[in-house]
Amino acid sequence: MRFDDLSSILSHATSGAHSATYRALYGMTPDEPPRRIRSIGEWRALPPLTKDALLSSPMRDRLYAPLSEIDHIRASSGTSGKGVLFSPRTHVRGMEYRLGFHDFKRPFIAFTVPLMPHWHESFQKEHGLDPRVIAYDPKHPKAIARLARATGADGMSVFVFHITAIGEEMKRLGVEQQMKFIEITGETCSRSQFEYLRRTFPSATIVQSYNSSEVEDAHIGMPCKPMDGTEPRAVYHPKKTHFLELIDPETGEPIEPRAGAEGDLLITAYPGQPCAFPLIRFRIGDTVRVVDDACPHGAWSFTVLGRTDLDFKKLPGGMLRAEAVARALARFPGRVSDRFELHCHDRLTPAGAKMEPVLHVECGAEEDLERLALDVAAEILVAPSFSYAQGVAEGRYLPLVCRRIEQPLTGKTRRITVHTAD
Amino acid sequence: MHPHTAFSPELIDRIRRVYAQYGISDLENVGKPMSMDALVSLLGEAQAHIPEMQNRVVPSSFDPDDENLIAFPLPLSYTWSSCERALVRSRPRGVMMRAPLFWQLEAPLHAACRAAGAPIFVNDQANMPVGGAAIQLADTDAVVTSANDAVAFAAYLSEKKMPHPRLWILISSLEEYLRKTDHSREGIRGTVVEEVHLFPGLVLLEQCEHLADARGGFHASGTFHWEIGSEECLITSLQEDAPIPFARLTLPLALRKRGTCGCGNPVFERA
Repeated sequence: MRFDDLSSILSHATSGAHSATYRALYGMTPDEPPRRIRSIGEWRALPPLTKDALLSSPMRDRLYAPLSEIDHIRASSGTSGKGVLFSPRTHVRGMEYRLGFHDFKRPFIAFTVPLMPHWHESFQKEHGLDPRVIAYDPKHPKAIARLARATGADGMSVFVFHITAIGEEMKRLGVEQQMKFIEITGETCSRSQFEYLRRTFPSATIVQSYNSSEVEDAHIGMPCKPMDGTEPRAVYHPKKTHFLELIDPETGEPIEPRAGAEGDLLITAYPGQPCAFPLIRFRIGDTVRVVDDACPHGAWSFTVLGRTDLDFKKLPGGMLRAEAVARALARFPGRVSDRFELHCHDRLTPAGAKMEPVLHVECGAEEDLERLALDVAAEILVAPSFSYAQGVAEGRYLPLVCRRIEQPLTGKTRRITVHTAD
Repeated sequence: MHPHTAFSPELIDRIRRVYAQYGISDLENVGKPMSMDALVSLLGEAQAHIPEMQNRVVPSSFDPDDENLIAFPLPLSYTWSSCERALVRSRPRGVMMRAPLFWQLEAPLHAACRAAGAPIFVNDQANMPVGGAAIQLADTDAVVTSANDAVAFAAYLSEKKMPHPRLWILISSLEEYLRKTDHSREGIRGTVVEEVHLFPGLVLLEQCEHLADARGGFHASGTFHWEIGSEECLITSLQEDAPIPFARLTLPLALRKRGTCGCGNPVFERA
């Protein structure tokens, strides 16, 4: 997106009967004309839009298109217990990149996220193909596998945490080999999940996209390349109709998107008309790291590290990040998978309150958990050249504790949970 | 009954030709009354041909754990026209789909929603709080779901003192319809349009606007030629593009004519 585009979107978003959300956010008076900007500095001075700001008005007051032009509605929970946010969407456009990965000639299995089953049918029709889609029902993977077998479906679009359930049902019916293309979205795909995918669906090209229910103009992160197991596993670039920015999560100051830079992601998205809600500097709540200043698709590419408010735990002199834990676990592939749940408990010690991290991991019955905890702690970096184990040795932190997960993790998991009332 | 072409030997011949394409051996008996078991067996024979049929599919059962669940093909041109008519005449602002996803009705319902100018919102049956919130906060004033779920969802809305949708479109399987009691709409407020499906999306009985509030009466779907008996009904597919047409499929459905509807079609009810 060019500066002129940004200026034009801002003007559009602050004009008309349904601009109350932005006008309130920018402190505009009722008779003030639509906002115009003259520099990127003025753009960067605009306060970010948050989910809570969207929650403050009902959906009908946020619509920039007639209800009859709204294709479907998505729901997501608020970040502060304020209730459910309903986000309207028009027909999603600009997804032709998928044809570079798959031909879509055969039936396709699709969950409702990131794109609805009917959207996948439209996509096939728009490209001269027969619209043949099987809606994925996460409650009933067995029934879906049977329909996949009957129809010869050869691709699917599902959440990361659906993969094991549908994979096992497909294996039972012997149809996993027919899968040629798998799109995943949702949570970060761990190494063990990727290895399961690779092993179960050896013929499939696997791509991950990055989405959010509030963003009408999916995807936020277009897959730069198929996943091949190299790190980082999922690399994205922005859609042409998007403008992505990074800010410091503490200060809100802009961060230049240079390789290696990390920051809180802001997204501006406008698919053109019709548009249910132009999104301006929306603070999605995820922290990303820039992978490449200029990827082959002409923009900076990035990988998602996790939820800014959930996947990180501040420590004295550092930060315990879910991504760093996953990376540390990946160093011990024969002993432990990289799927985990980290529970952080406040403990009162003679030196004051400290956090005790308890890491629940998938590992073999014979694994020595005390040894594993020492090894993993030595690999977890809490600062660029400072490990968690060093912090323990200096008396800053309590030792890491490892516990075994008895049941395999199958659903959507929160990687870091902070317990404040132990 | 809706106007349709007459039942004829030519119709049976056409069905026989379709079956022959799928290698179905027992063509001699096509035209004789066919049991549901025989249909399931025929569908089983046709499964191997489904990938080449270029059709959409729905499950052959409403029960996801049914060990006999296989794919039933519908033509690509399939539209859920009874649902579309109900939505178009009610003009809802938004439509909530609570029917299970594995029924494969999301895309046909979305097409019906487009015809009515309303967005679709998919709500998991287990997530009633979000369903209730969608009625309150997202202008969703029509619900499409199973008859059983409707009673549970309506009870939830009443308990939470939430508004009910203006319109309910309720789907029952034939088995559910046959064992239904008068209490099956208990607690549901608003206009209720009921349908009875053989498989999800394959409508047997439907209601027009005149029948929507006059409980218990149905029109027989114009998709089929009906032979209505006192103990069973035989249906024969009339649509030329039906991938697996039925020839005198015998349903354990006893109907009797109750009169003529304001729309001009006969009204049937359970005998």
